[in-house]
Amino acid sequence: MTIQSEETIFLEAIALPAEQRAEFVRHQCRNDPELRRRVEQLIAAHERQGDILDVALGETVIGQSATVDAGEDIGPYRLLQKLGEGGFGVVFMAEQRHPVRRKVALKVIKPGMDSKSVIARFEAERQALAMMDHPNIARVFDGGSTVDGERPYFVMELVKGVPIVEFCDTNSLTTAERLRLFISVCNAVHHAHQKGVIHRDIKPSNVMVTLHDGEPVVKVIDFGVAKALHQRLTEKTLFTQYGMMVGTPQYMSPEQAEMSGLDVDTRSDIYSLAVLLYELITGTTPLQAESLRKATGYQDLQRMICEDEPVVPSQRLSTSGQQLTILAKHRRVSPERLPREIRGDLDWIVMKGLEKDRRRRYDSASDFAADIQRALDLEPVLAGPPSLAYRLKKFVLRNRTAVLAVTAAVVVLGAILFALVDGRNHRLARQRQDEVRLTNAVDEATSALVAAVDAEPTDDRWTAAEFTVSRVRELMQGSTAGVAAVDRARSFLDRYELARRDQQFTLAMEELLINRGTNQDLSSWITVERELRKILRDRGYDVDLLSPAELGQQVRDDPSMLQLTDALELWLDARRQVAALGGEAVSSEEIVAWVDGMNIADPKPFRSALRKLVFETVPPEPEFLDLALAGNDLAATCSRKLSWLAQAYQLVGNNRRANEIQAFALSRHSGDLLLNFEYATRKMNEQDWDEAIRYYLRCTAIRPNISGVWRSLAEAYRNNNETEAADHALDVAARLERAAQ
Amino acid sequence: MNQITEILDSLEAGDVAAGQQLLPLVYDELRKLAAAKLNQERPDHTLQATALVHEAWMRITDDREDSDRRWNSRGHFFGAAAEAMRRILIDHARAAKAEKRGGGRQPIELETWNHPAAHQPEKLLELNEALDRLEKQDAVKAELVKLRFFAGLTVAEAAAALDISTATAERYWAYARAWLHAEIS
Repeated sequence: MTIQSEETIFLEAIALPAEQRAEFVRHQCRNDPELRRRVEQLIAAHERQGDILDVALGETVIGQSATVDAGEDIGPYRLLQKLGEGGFGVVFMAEQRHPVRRKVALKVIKPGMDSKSVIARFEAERQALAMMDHPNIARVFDGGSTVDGERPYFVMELVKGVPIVEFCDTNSLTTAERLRLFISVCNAVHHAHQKGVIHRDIKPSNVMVTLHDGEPVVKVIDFGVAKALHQRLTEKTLFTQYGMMVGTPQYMSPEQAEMSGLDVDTRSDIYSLAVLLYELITGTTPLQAESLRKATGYQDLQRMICEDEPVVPSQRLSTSGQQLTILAKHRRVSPERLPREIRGDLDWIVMKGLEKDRRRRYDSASDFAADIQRALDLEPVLAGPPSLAYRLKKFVLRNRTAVLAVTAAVVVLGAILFALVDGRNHRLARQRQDEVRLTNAVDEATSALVAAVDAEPTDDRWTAAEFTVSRVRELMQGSTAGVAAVDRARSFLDRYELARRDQQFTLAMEELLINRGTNQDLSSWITVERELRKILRDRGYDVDLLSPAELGQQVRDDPSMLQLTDALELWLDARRQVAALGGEAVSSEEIVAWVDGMNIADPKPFRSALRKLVFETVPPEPEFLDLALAGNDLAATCSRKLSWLAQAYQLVGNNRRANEIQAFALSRHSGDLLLNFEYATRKMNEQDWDEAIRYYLRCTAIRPNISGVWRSLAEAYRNNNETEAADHALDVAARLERAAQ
Repeated sequence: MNQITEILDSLEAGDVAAGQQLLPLVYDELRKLAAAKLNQERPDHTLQATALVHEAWMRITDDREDSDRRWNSRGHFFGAAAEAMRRILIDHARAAKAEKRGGGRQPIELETWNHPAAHQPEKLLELNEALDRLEKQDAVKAELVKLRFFAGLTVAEAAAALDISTATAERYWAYARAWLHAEIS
């Protein structure tokens, strides 16, 4: 029975730590070299990953261990012990020695899992985390690649805590204490939303509580399935190959359960938060694990999540029988009081979060938190029906002693009076509330806009800004806030529109240059030239009607002067290309006139000098360039001008310097589409296919919906003999082109 | 659908010969279901092999109230489904290979089924041959691999379908996985 013993030795060996296996096998097979060879082969196959079976089953391979292991060093980190393993990554507790000594969590991609799409997904998670900076979210410290296999890793704050539900129960927190803790969960999630990140898997085990100086501190962890809001197409085409039902059924929102994958936004997290709150209050989730187990399949499960109306929390408590005694004990109240504590406000708040129709949920996690705070402060909550009786009850509660002191007769009279006063107070309170909200929203939107304007035009921060701005717009409608606050909001919206227009302008220009410019023939350049002319005309600058000097003067006073001169430069360049390819000629006088016109609009010496060089209105002499460069801070120079600068150096014959500038520009503006594209195209010309593919892929990640990028990528793949990948890229390009028609 | 139910009943009643007819019916059912799903969904929607098999199973068991019998015939059904999925994938892989040499059309757009292995026809065919060899040597382990790899069952589900313990299934899986990887490398 060689098979049997081969299997037995193999199974015993893999149960041992990796370093003891070889010795064990040597000993067991000491009389049988053939058996030993076989078992060693099996163990090697066992330790290897990423073969076809693993690819198909990604997440559930049993008994494997990553070949990175405790005791090893990755960069300045020593791995101490494995904490967990996900689909593609392994998380270790690690010790950092420089520059500070501390314990951290290190997540590294599993060996064999380092395909391009997995790396892109891993990278997306790292970026999502790096964008966030909040005391209740685990922080990212560092990232890099292992020396050997180029496997990426990143380093996070090590969270040592227990899941929030467990923490609340073991420490017998009262309902109010639980609510306070929950508010900080909302704040953390809100922060993520503002950065354009949806968590998508909020559940107790992803909300940890640690003690910091004796105070409980919430840490939201595992943004592993989190996705930035805008990168939908890329996901669809590249990254969902392994995606199954993401999330945990009890906490999954109806729109997530539908698995359409396209239609999940921040309000899905609001739903999961409400489930968590329900559980903190009642000890059970709205859809209980037992009933979910009875589901006969995916569809039934979906139906339950999408249709079954949950029981209100207070009723769940009242009907929980013997369980109620234990639940009440964990919350340090009597079993009779617990449901009463919840009835009313908290019932309404939880149910608003659990609405099947997401439009009826809270708009944001901060609204959710604010309403809970109101409930804690015994103020009217937004979630409840704001009837007079309800408001009166609140008033009486808030002023219990005073109310009790007056006589019965006065109570009747008083109630009427109070109702009137409360009505007036309520109006004033509402006005104040509107004002505070609007002001806060404008503040928030302003900082989001500032962050977005500094970023590339396709950065997630734009989505985040759009999100906060929509909140401002919403609040403006029917707002009773004072004139000053409304005026401020209006002028902010104007500013936003302007910034948005510039962003759109840049996007349109990029798309044009890439889609048309990939073909270097005459007709393509003619189209580019025409469309740039049109883009400029749409912004009120008609190059056919205005003289270069007139146009320069007008552009000088435009707040978007830099974008406009960019466009003018590109347009003039396109004209030159057309002329060089035998199209409509352009005289050198005309070029000089336009360059002078642009220099009127943008007289900064460095940029004027660059323009003169690129358009050869001065003789290409290195001294001239060096002179122009002197005293100029390259770090503060925008990406387009750096690109021109590299071109200028190429013109004066200094290729080494041109390369340096290009590398610098890329490191400085790694998310700039055109820079990446230009670099990739240059690598194509140098026949460095691998590098070209890498940078075209980066372009597709920056903006997934430009067909020209996919076409160039396909060409690079084809040159590199990767036919399948090439076909896929072409397919995407064709689909985009169809969609655009 | 009724036919499948009938066969499952016959199998339960001890009519082993009925098993012969199960596979082609399940095969057709899965492909019909896939085609219907692809039609009603958005064009870019992707379909999971696992979800497909589970849904087919659900549709069958919808008609059957008796849960004990349902559990008993589960193994038969998933076995047939795994084999059906295997054939669909292998047909596809062969067609993909033939197409590279200028052959005919693909029988069904399997990429849209989202089985990760559908993108690697060569490897899939290699694995399939190795799996045949494993079957000759150890039929239960080969069945386990089929249930997991083609029908997408978890170790626990596959263990239940094969009527073995989860711990045993895990050991079988570790061995079969290493064995197959050693074979095809």
